[in-house]
Amino acid sequence: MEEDAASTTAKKTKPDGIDGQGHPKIGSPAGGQSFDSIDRLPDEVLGSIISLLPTKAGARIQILSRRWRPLWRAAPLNLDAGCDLTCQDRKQILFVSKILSDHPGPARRFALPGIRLRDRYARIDGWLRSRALTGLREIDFHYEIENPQLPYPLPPSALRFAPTLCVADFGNCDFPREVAPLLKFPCLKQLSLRSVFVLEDVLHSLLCGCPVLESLLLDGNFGCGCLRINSPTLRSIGISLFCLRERGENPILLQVLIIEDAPCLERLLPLYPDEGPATIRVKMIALSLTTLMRTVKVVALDTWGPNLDSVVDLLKCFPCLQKLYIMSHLQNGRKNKWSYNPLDPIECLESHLRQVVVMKYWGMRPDVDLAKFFVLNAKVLKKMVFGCISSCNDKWMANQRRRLQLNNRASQGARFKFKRSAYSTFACNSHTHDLWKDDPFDSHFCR
Amino acid sequence: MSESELAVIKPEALKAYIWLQCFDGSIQQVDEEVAIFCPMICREIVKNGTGSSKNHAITLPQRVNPASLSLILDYCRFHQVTGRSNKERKSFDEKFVRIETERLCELTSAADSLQLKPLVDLTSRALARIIEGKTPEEIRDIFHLPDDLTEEEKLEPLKNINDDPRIRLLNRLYAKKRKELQERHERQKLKDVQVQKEQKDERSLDELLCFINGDGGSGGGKATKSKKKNKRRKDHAKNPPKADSEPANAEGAACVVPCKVDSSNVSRLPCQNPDIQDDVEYPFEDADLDDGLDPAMKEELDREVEDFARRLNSVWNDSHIGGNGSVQRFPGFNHR
Repeated sequence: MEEDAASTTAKKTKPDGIDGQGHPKIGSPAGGQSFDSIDRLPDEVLGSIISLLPTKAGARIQILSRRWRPLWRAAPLNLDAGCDLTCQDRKQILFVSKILSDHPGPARRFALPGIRLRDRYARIDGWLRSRALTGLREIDFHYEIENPQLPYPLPPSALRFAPTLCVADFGNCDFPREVAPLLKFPCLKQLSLRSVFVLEDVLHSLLCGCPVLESLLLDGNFGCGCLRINSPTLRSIGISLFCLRERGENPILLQVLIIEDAPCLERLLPLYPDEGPATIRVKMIALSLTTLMRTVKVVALDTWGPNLDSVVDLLKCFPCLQKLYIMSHLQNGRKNKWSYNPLDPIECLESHLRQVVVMKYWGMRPDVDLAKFFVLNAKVLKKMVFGCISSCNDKWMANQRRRLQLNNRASQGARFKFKRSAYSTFACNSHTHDLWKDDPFDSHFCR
Repeated sequence: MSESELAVIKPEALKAYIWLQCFDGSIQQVDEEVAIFCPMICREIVKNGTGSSKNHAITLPQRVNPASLSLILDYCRFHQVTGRSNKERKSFDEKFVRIETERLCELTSAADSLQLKPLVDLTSRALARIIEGKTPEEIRDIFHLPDDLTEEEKLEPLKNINDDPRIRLLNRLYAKKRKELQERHERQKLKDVQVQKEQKDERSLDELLCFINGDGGSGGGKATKSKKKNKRRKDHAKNPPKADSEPANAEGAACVVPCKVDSSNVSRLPCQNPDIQDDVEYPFEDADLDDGLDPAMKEELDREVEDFARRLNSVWNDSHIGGNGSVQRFPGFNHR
C-alpha cells in the first residue's frame, strides 16, 4: 500500500494504490497526482463545499460513496425551503421538519422564501428553536400573505441567531415590539426588510445594533415615517416605497430619510427628490443630507416631471458623483429651465460625472430639457445613454440629436447612445447588496 | 570596487526573497511580499526565522505540490497589490478557477494546508458549482469516487428528501410486502405448531442467510439501524394482500422480499428474528400515495420489485446448494 493510504479514509472497496480499472495510480506517492484528490481534502473543507450546495444537492452527496455518507450531517446545513426543494405547501412543512430533525447542526443558512402562516406559528417557532439551526449565518424569512387583514408576527426565536447572522432578509412579517432588546447583530453585513411592519423606534434600535452593516435594503416597509442613518460602515442604501402588502388604512410609509452620518456611503438608490403636491403618485421621500456625501459615486433616482430643479439640488449633495441613473416619469406641463451659473458651479458636473443614464426617455420637451442640461454642462462626461420607450428610428434619433444640441456638448469626448429599453423600474436587490460591483446597474444597461 | 558600483548592485540585493521547498525537494525563490500573503508561510518566517536563504528554505506541507504552489503564488502576487478595485479582483478570481477539476482539487488542498482562507473559499465555491446540478453518477465520474455503497444504503437518505416518487413508492411497496410476509409468517407459525419441521427449516434459512450475508454486510449497518425510527404503519395496506390475487410470480416475490429484508437485518445483526417491526420511515402521510402515479407507473414499480426479488433469488440459490428439494419446503416459493 502506498504511504498516502493513511491519509485517506479506510473501508474503500479497492486498495488505495489501484484505480477504478485496476491500474496502479500514476504520479509521485506523496502529494502528487491521484485519482481521488477531492477525497483527500479534509472533512472541514468538504463540509464547506457541501454547505454551499442547494439543499437537495447537498443531501444527495450522502449516496456518493462511503466517505461522503456522513459528511452531510457534518457540514453546516443549508436549508432552503424554496421551490428547488418543493413547491407544495404541505411538503414544504414536512421536508423542513424532517431535515431539521435529522441534522445535528450547526447551520449556515436557512431560507423560508414564502411560508403560509395559518395555524403553524408554533411549528415555525419550533423550527427556529431547533438545534439544527445553531450558529446560523444567513436567514431569509418571508411569510406568504394570504389575508392582509391578519397580523403576521415574526417569531422572536428568529432573532436568537442575532449573534451570528451575517446576512438577514425579512419580509411580509411584523416585528413585534418586544424583540427590541434582541436586536444586536454584531456580525450583520447585509440587511433587507421587505414589506415589513416595524415601528420607528424598533427600526432605529435595529440599525444601532448593527455595527458592521454594509448594505441596507428597505423595500415597501411601513410603521416608520422618518429614518435617521448613522453608520460608520454603511456603503449602500436601497429604498423603495412601493408596498405590495396591503395594510389597512393609512399605513405609515417612509417619508423622510435623514443621513446624519455615513462616511462610507457609496450608493443611494433610488431616490425620490421631488416634493410638492402629489396628484398621481402615492408617497414621496424628502431627502435631507446634512453633510455633503463625498464618497457617493453612484446615485439612482426617480423623478416626476421630470423635475430638473430637484435633480440639481441632489447633485449638489454629491460632489464626487460619477454615475447617475435617472428614471424619468413624464408629466404634462412640466417646464424645465435651469440655467447653470458658472460662478456657482456644481462640483460633480465640473470634475466627476462620467456617465448619465436616462431611463424611460420619451424624447418630449420635458425630458429633452433635462437631458440637455447634462449635455451642455457635464464637462467630463464620457457616456450618456438614453433608454428609449418608443422605437428609435433614424429620423427620430436625428431629431433628438438636434434638439439635445449634441454638437454643443460640454465634453468633447462624450458619446451618446440611444437604446431601446423596456426597463421601467429599478429593482433594488442586487443593486444594493452587490458591493463588489463598481456600477450596480452595469449588466442591465450599459454595455 | 568603488562605492558607485556597489550602489548600482544594491537595489537588487535589497529586495527580499523567501525560499520555499516542496515535499518533492524542489526549491522555489519568491518575493517576500508575495510569500507573506500566505498565513502559514508568514508564521514560519516570523516565528522560526526560516526561509531567508536557500539552505534554510521553508518546508511546505505535503499537500502542496509544485503546480499548486505556482498557482497559489500567482494568486498571492495579484491580490497583495493594494490598488486594485473589487471588480478587478473578482474578475481575476473568476478566471483563476477555470482550471481542470483535478487541478482545482489539488489547489484547494494546497491552499487549505497553507491556511490561505480566501483562496480556499474561492476554490470551494468553484467545486460546489461543479457538483451542483449533477447526478450522483456524474459526480462520481468527475471526481473518481468509488461507488461503494449498497443499494439499500443509497436509498436510505433519499427517504428524507425524495424528489423521486418512484423511490418513495418502491419503499412503500417493500414495506407493504414485508408486512404481508410478516403476517404470513405469523399465520404460518400458528400452523407450524403441528409442523415442527418447517420451523426448523425457517431457522436454517436464517442460518443460511447469515452464512451468505454475515461478513459481507454493510459496515454501517448498526449505525443506520439505530438511526431509523421504528414507526408503525398507521393503517394496513390499502390493497388487500396481493398474495391472493396476484399470479405466482408476485407471490414468489412476496415471499422472497422479506428474505432480502431479513438478510439485510441479518447482516447488521446476524441471525435476528425475522419478526421485525416495520421500521421503514414514512416521512409522508399515506395520502401521498395518491401522488398522481398512474397504474402504468405502479406496474413498472411492481416489476422493479420483482426484478429485485429475482436477483436476490438467484443469489440465494447460487450460494445455497440445497437444490429443489429444500426449496420446495417453503410454500409459495416457486420459481416462475
